[in-house]
Amino acid sequence: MTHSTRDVHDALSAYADTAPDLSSQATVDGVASKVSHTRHVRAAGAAAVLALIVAVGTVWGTGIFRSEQTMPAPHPPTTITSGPVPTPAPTDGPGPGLAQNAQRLGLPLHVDGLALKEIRRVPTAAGPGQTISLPSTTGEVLGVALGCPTSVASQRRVTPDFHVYDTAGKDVRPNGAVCFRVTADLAAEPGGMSMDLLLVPGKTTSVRVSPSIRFGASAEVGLYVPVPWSEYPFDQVPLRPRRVTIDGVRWGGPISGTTGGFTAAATENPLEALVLNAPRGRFRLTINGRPWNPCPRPESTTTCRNGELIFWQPVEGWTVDLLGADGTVNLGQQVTIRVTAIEVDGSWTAGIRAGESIGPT
Amino acid sequence: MKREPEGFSDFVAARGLPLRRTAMLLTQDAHLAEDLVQTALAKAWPRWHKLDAPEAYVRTVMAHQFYRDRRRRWVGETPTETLPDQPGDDAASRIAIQDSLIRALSTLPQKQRAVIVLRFFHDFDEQQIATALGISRGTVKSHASRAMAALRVSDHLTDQSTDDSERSPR
Repeated sequence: MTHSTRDVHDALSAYADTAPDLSSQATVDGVASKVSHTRHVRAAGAAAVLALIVAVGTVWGTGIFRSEQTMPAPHPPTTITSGPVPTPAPTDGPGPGLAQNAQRLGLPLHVDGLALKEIRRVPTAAGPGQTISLPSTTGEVLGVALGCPTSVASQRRVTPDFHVYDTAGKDVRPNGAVCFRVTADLAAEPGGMSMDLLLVPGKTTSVRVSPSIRFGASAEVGLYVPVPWSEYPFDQVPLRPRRVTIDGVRWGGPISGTTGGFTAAATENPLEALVLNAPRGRFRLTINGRPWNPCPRPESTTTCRNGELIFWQPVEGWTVDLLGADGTVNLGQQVTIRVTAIEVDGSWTAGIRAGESIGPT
Repeated sequence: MKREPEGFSDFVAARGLPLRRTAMLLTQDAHLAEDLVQTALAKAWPRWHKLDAPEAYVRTVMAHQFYRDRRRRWVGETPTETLPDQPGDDAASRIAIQDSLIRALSTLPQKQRAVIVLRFFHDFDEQQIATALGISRGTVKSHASRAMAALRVSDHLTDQSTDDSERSPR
């Protein structure tokens, strides 16, 4: 080659100049779309704890709901014990039972390890907000699930933002406001709600829902409590299969039953991740021999509970970054990851994105 | 859809074009370049507030993503404008040389191309390239060696005549 490195640099620079100078907003919108897609894929397969779903009931006053000014008296707390899942009792409302109310609002009776316990109606006048007491459980973490409207509803600008605060006044949604399902907008697609999940510690006795704008007389809130794996009515919950293609993953091959495991020795860098394709099941993870909670928060959730990773629905491409895992993984460090099935409903596959060596055990 | 992290939009406005330049060199396609930039920014999104050097991180992610992405076609040819008909003019000669180099670069496998771009466009050293692509220094050397050997015998470059004395690359 008879060209200098300067020639190469100049040639590359000249060609790089042909890159289009696009609108930065278009790029940001494209990035947000990719982030949203990734988040929904993860949330669908490994949802966090849900205990509360807020649905706007009377935005345009169809006359279905009463315009209550005071919060109805909460039901006595119910303790979750082992045994058959208790049938949720009918709650306050215009008359129909819990199941009918849930169907009207598009709330599932069971979702991701949680059971709908009751539906509350709360006033939604603008101001400091409305306190909603939460049912107590046997120490399980409660969560706050907020339904986000479909894109159809969004286009009609029926997405008021709410904030949710725990008993100590801490905003449980620090990364931004939450969105709501609009049920009285006849133009909105029913059942088109996606689950947006929050989490509060199990000892939280109440949350305060504070609307930023006034949009109607009241909202209806679904309260969910965790259900043990052995009591969860899987036969009553439709499977939610996902097909996601994850590039750049070196898979360990299909692993059957609970006797198999997956071990990977990975060259650590900020870009590596553990990826799982699995049916419903419970797993245990270790990293460098230590138990690994792959969820972002240390408190128990329906996904990470009692040292277990739980998939209440089949997952495809469930991903967790390795850097910062349990605070033990740092740049330049070799890591060994072990995935062991405890109880699984079929074969599963694990892989490492950009790993050095992979092998099933 | 969530709002972007604080400062994210400003960063994209300020550094989007330089990132797109790098992506253009890697992918040699404007649409693929934009997709590569957006994919890398999407990976940076959840950890944005933790990044001390976001541009370096995003560029690293881009290079790594390109290096690992098996979907990308190996573009054997790259469309360029017509070479000037008048040899001998300095500007025309320079354009011709650049065109030849880009054509030759486009014939490289994407892993070798990634190494060349990081080495000669971003002036990364071997360790920096290794870190960016998540490979060993030995692999960097191997890719660079093979890339340079391929470029030396590339038809696009051996057709180029030079009226200067030999200049040996580094």
